Amino acid sequence: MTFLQPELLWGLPLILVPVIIHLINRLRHRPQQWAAMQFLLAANKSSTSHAKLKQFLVLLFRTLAVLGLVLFLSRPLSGGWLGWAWQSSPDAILILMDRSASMETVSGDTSRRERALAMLNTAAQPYEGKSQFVLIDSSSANAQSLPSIESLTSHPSTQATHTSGDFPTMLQTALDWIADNQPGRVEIWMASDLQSSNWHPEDERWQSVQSQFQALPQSIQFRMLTMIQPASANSGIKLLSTRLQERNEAKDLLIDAEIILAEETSQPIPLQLSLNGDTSTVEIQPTGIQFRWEHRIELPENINEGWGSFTLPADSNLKDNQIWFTFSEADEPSALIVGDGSRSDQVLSIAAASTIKGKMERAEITSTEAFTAGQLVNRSLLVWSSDLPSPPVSDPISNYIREGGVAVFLPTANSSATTYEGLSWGQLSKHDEDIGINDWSRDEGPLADSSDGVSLPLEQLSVSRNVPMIGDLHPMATFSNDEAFVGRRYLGRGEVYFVGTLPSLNWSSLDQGTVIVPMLQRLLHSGTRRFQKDSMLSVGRLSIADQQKLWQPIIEEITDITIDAGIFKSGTRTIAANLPSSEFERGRLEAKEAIQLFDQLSVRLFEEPSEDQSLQGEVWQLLLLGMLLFLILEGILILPEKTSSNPQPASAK
Amino acid sequence: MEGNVSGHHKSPHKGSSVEFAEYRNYAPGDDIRRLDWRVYARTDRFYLKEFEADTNLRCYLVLDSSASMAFSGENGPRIDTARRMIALLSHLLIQQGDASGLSVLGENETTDVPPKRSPSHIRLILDQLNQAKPAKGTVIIDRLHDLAERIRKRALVVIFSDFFCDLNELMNCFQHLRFQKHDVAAFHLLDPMETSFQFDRPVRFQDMESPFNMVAEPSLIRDEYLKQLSLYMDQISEGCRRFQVDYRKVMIGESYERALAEFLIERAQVRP
Repeated sequence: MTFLQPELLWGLPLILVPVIIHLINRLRHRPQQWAAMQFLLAANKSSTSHAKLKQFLVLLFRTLAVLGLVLFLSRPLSGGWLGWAWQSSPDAILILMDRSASMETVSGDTSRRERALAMLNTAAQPYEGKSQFVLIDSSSANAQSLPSIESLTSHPSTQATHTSGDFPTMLQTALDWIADNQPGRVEIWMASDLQSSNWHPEDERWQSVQSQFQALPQSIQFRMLTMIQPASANSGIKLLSTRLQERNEAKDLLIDAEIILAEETSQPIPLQLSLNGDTSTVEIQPTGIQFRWEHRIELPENINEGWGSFTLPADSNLKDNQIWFTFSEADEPSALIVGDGSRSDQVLSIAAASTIKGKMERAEITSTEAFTAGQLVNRSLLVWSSDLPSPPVSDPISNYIREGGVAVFLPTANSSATTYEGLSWGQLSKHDEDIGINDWSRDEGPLADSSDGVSLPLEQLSVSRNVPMIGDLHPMATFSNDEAFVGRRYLGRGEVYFVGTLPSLNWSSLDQGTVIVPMLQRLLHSGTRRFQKDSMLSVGRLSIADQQKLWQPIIEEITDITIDAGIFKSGTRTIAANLPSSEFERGRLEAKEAIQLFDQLSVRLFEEPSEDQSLQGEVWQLLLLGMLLFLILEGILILPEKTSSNPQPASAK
Repeated sequence: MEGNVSGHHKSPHKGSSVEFAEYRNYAPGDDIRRLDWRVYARTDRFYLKEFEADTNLRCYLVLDSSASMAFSGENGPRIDTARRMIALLSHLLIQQGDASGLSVLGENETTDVPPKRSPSHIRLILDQLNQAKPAKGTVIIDRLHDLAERIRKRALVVIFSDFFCDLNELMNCFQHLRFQKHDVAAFHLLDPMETSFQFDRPVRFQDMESPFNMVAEPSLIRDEYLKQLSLYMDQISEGCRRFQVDYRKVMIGESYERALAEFLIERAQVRP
């Protein structure tokens, strides 16, 4: 048995209170001189067993009553009929089903999702025909009416997926359904393994969801079925990037992946490689429990494009054991420099030059006045070295970024009050003595160390002018005056970078190229990767435009690009859909933390039992009844007997 | 006739008098002057001829001064009720010409006031009653045996006690008194607290006749206590009936005058 308020179990010593009171009561007896001692002794002797039994029962019932009270306050959970037998039928039962990849973790012969469905099915049987059942699955987050609860386990929207979940969105869908259908009493049943990345506990939407539910006129009861039974070891592989590299006349496919092992091992791990349908085995030597793995595949001469996968040996969850990739000769990456005609525009144009096939092509330069939205089509990088754009010019830029583009903004000497997406520049700072770079992010981002550990020479930079950046930007590097050198913000699927100085002699030594070139090249590559036609995406993250297209799976057993990982083709475009990286996050919420997300809403927890398939539910009502029963029994035992029924001594004359 | 003054009571004693009572076999030790020689001449057997005689009553009022007699309920100490009953009874007896005495059964000795019919004798009895103090233990058994031996003439022995002692030994005492031809009456003084046993919380019961004490929850043992007390009352009543002892229960706080009146009236009816 588990408890929602386990700290209240510290009150268990209170069950000794009746015993202590009993002992104190015995100590506070009053003295009485007594003559008829012989009868008292005889009575005490012959009634000892009965009296002791009665006294023991009284104490037992009092103790059990206190125990019941403490347990009742601790909100215990119990399985089977205990947990579910206290319910009346609501008008509607909304089932929020987590069918993310982590729910496919198998223990025994069944996955968490299958067990959850079976338990929900069993628990919902008493309400069949009395309540309306509505399914909201984590993959689509759409509300669908169920014809009967029997269809739950076989419903297409309850089957396994490679997707992640988003419970705030699912709850918002539930709210919308309630608002549209206006049912009476509603119960919302949530089945999940409480993976943090699916619940987004820090998300601001929770406050909105809470307030909306609290504002509803009807009674809403939440039930949370947590599938937290520990499973056996599970390893996973996450694709970071693929890159086609030309080497003389041959081509190499570079695979960058991260492998997360269930436990540390020094044994080689066999990975099954499938390349355009041909399979082979690759052995990798683990360097830790979680490590990055780079692999080079020499492609045959006649192969310029294709697809493939790497597969880890089977474990408790197969969904995170395989990565899919595609490759093809990429379009030439290109950047657009929007500047004010200064020399730094030329530096930026060279630094962002395309280098495909060894031929350098400088980035196109345009002025703010000549800039048009059409220039962003198929661009992989936008460098904006002028006053921040304002509507209507900023609108196509924002769309470009939200669809996955990368934009870099640089300051100007003239201060401007213009803001872009809540970001703006501050006042120009001129330094009598040059300042340097204090710290920067070496793990990831455009300033990260190379894969062989070589860091960019940022410490050699000298800066005489900088402009502080204002707004919600994550600093990737800072000047020695603690102001940000490079700041990043995610916008939609794209990235916005602010750089606090210019590659100009008057501003900094950035124009020497040792930092600005690799930085822009990395961003150019990042932007290119997003738009190359053999792109990768996370399952369930298909763009709105791509959702309109018909995607055919290359592998037969994979059917739906919206829920399955695999290789899909639409026309000439091939996409590798992989498990979302959030599903690799092992962090889970405690049941208590999940309940706290609902604040003052009524949430009852049902934990997955360890052995049988009965649900665990709160049983405070039972304990309350037990406590009352014990108090009544105790009262009966200590009730004074009627005087008329008292035996009296025989009278004699 | 025994005594110098004719009282209102018929003496239970049989002896030589004008009113023939019965014949009985001679037993060694009998006064041969009371042999009926005529019957001997006729039957060749020794018979004594007995006569009934009116006599004044010799009454010994016996006060048990065991420690338990000091028990005090809502209506005062038990021994006070016994004192009042003895004083009243002795006064009535002397008033009607009977001889009344007092025996206080003390811890080490018995304080006796011999039976006399003098009106001034009542003061002596009252003084002794006033001086009578409860002893530290149970004294009634030994003292009653002593008393039975010491009273030479047949008398009415009226005992005032709670009789909280061994029942068999008490019956032996009654048998002893009856064997000595005494007429015995027993007033059993009980307090309502002892017969109801009503307490609302645990009590440490301190034995009045020993250092023993015990803590008990009265509500748990009350039924059994009352059952034991009832059994005892039945046994003592039955024992008194067997030994022809006039047993009377007196509840402290109730009218003891009525108890005494009933006692006297019934005795008058039995022996008109």
